[in-house]
This record gives sequence, C-alpha cells and structure tokens, in this order.
Amino acid sequence: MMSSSHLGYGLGLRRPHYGHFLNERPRSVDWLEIISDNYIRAHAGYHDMLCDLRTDYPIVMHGVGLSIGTTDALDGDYLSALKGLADKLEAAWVSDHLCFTGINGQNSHDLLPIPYTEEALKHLIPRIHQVQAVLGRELVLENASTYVEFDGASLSEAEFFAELHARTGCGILLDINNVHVSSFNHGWDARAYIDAVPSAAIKQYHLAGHTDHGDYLFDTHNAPVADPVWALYDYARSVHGDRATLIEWDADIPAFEVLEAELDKVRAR
Amino acid sequence: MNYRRQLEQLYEAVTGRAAADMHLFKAARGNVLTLPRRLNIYADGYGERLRAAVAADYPALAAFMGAGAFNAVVDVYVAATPSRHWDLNLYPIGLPDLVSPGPAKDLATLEAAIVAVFWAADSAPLTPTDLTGIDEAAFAQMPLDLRTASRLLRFEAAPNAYLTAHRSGAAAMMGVGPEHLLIVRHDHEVHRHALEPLEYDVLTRLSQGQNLTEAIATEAAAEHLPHWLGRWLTDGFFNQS
Repeated sequence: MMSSSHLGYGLGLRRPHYGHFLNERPRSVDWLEIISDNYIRAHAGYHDMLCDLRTDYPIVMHGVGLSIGTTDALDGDYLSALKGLADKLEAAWVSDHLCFTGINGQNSHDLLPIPYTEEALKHLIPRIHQVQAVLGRELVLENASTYVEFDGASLSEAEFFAELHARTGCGILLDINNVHVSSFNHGWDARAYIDAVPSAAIKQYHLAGHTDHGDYLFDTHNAPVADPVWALYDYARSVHGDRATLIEWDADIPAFEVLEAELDKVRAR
Repeated sequence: MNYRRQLEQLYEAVTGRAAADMHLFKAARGNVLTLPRRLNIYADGYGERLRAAVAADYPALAAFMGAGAFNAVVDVYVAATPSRHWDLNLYPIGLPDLVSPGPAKDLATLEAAIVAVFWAADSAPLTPTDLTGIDEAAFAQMPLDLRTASRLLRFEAAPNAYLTAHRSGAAAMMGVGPEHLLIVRHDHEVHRHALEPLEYDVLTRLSQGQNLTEAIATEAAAEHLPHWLGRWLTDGFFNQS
C-alpha cells in the first residue's frame, strides 16, 4: 500500500504535452511535476492551466533557481512567489537542488557544486530553516549531477545530505540518474552513496537519461533511462523502499507515448 | 580559503572571468578526466545556455542579419552581460542595445518588446462595462493608463511587417516605415496592434499622464476617437484602474 506521500509514478509537465494533459487527462500518469521557475512569474493563463490540471493530478513543484548554497541573501521575492504558487496548487511538496547557481548578484543558471564541509553545513542549515519558514512546509533537496568536486571535503555528498536532514528536517529527492552520473565522473561507489542516504528523508526518486561521452557522463535528460540507472533504482528501492518516482525528460522531448512507456517500465519493476 | 571564496573561484572559472586555482578541486579516483576539462564542462554549458536563450527570442532578427552577423552580436552580448536574475527568460531583453541603429535595431527592439510584454506583470483590462454610469464630462477627465504588459513603439523601418512575414514562412523583406505599434498582452496572448500615426500620438500623451481631453489635441483626433475607443476597450489597451 502506498503511503500518503507516495504519489505513485509521475511525469514532468512540459510544453509539448500541455494539450494532451488538458484534453485527455491520461490516467497512466499519477502526478505531475512542474519546474517552479517556469511558472512563478508567468501570467495568469499559466496559473489557470495549472489549477485546471490540479483538479486531476497532484502537483509537485521542482525548482532550479533557489540557489540554497550561495552566500548571497535568499531572494525574498522568489520565495514569496514560490509560496504563493505552492499554496494555490496545494503542492504535494516543493523541491530544489543542493547547489549554488550564482554569487555576488550574478547567475550562471547552472547547478554548481558546493564543498561538503562543516563550514558549508553551518551556512546552509539556517538558510534551509529560513526557506522552510517562508514556505510553511518542508524543503526537499535533490542531488545534482556534478563534474568537479572541491578538495578538502570532510563529508561525502550523501553524508552531507544526511546531516542536513538531521539538522533541518529537510527532505531528499534522490535522483538515481544523478547518483550514477556523479559516481561515474568522480569514481564514487554508487551503492555506498545510496546506503548512506537516510531512508526517512527520501521523499521522491528521479529517473532520467544521460549522455555517455566516454570519459564522463553528462546529465542531459534527453534519452530513456539507462540500464545501470534502472539497476541502481532497483537497489535503492530494496534499501529504502518505494517512493513517488518521476521520469524526467527535458530536451528532445518525445511523444507522450514514449514517456508513458518509460512510466510503464517503472510500474513493472 | 573560506566557503564564499571557494564558490567565487568556481563561479569565476565557470563564467570565464578568471582562471581557477586547480588546488581547490579534487583529482578524481579511477577516472582520467582532467580538472581543466571538468571545469570546461561547466564553462561550455554556461556560454551555450546564454546564447541559446538569446537566440530563442530573436528568430526574425537572426534571419534578417544572417547567422554570422547575428551570432557575432550574441557572442558580444553574452561576453559583456552577466545574468543578474534567477529568471533566464529576462536575460535576452538587453540585446537591442548592441545592435547598430537602423532596420536591424528596430527589429531587435520589436522582438525584445514582445518578450518583455509576455513576462510583464498581470493587470486587469478596462472594459466597456467599467465605464457604465460614468458621464461624458467625467470620462473626458479620466486618466487612461496603458496596460502593465504593453509597449508603445514607433519605428523608422517596418519591422512588424517583416516579423509577420517571417512567422508565416513567407519571404520577408524589410520595408520602409514608419510603423506605429502597441504590443499588449490581453487574454493571455501577446498582440501586435498597428496604430495610425495620430492614434499613436494620442496614446503617447495618455501614457505620459494626460487625460483624454488633453490628449485629443486636434480636431482630426477628436473625429477618430469613437472608433479608436471601441478598439482600445475591446482589445484591452488600458488598465482597469
């Protein structure tokens, strides 16, 4: 039996499939995840569309612009807009990434890694508390794919997540593809990473495709889930149990039926 | 090195503003990818992301200028313009400042205005119903504010006709202007309304805070007003309050 937070199996809502969701309301999709940043400044027509879809689907809000790791002040306008939309949609939860996207007022629009040190923990913990206070709900943080690591880390990425959860109550969106990609790129043990994440913190799994460049993997979200990622997903479920799971596909977006087939693969496991 | 400086070092390397101190980063276990190549994955992505965002908003300008000249302007813009907002949609709006005066700049200004209007804040439109019960004298003294999501534009060339032809897939030729336009978002869509020169003058005066009596400066304008008013209200030119 699914727990109340196990929404089932979902898809990211992307522009090419707006019409299909609005007109067909496919029941093969249990819930929708939206990229928060695409909608919080958007005009009322988009909000009307999301409210309409919300009548048939639980909605999870997933952001890329929070920049929880930066040393710049948190953006109050961004947070209040995020809260406004989350309240309007009765979002199942609100997530973003453990990263920084910019500093000193500038923005790379990328998910840049932070050093996993005690100093970083001390910086992030009050910021996560602040975000959770503004949102009035738990913040869920995702592991990003990374290509470089800071030296001198005192904790592994998974241990860092565990500390954040223990000290703030934040949830974890465990992106299985990102664990695989980062583990390949840095020579980590992907299963040890999965083992080190606290089960109670995991709110959701992400699955996605990546591109193999030979000497590194690149997180592209433009392909079916790769076999090693499926195997790692099975392993994560054996360790931590089932959770709400999402197929992410953000580039070269295929026909809805292709995404539906990926969801069928998740259900069949 | 403290946490903030660590982030700054990575950010400066990613955005090409300074070389990173390689001692900051860990050499990978069991992987031959060098640190410079690792940083380049981020640096390449940074440039590609910003260039793609700009290119997506100026398809007609790219066609008008040709790929080589357009990409050169975009490269200069990206190199000179760090993004200062979490919303990448706003990043391309400053491109017209880098385009030389002339038809290309007019077209860039038009495409930038469309983007700005699309992302501008919502406001309710003034409708004929809102004017029910207001007598003629009071109406003549009313300030009429153009919609928050709108831009009033005048061009020497004819970029609007070019854009229309480009979007329809027809052979687009830049004609001689002038063109007068109101770009407005109404009913959740961005509309480009061609204006008569006199109509443009009246809307300009209204946008500068004059009331209707002050803005209707000529007999010709007064003569056209009933026709214009009908369209202005139907097409949502003004804010409700």
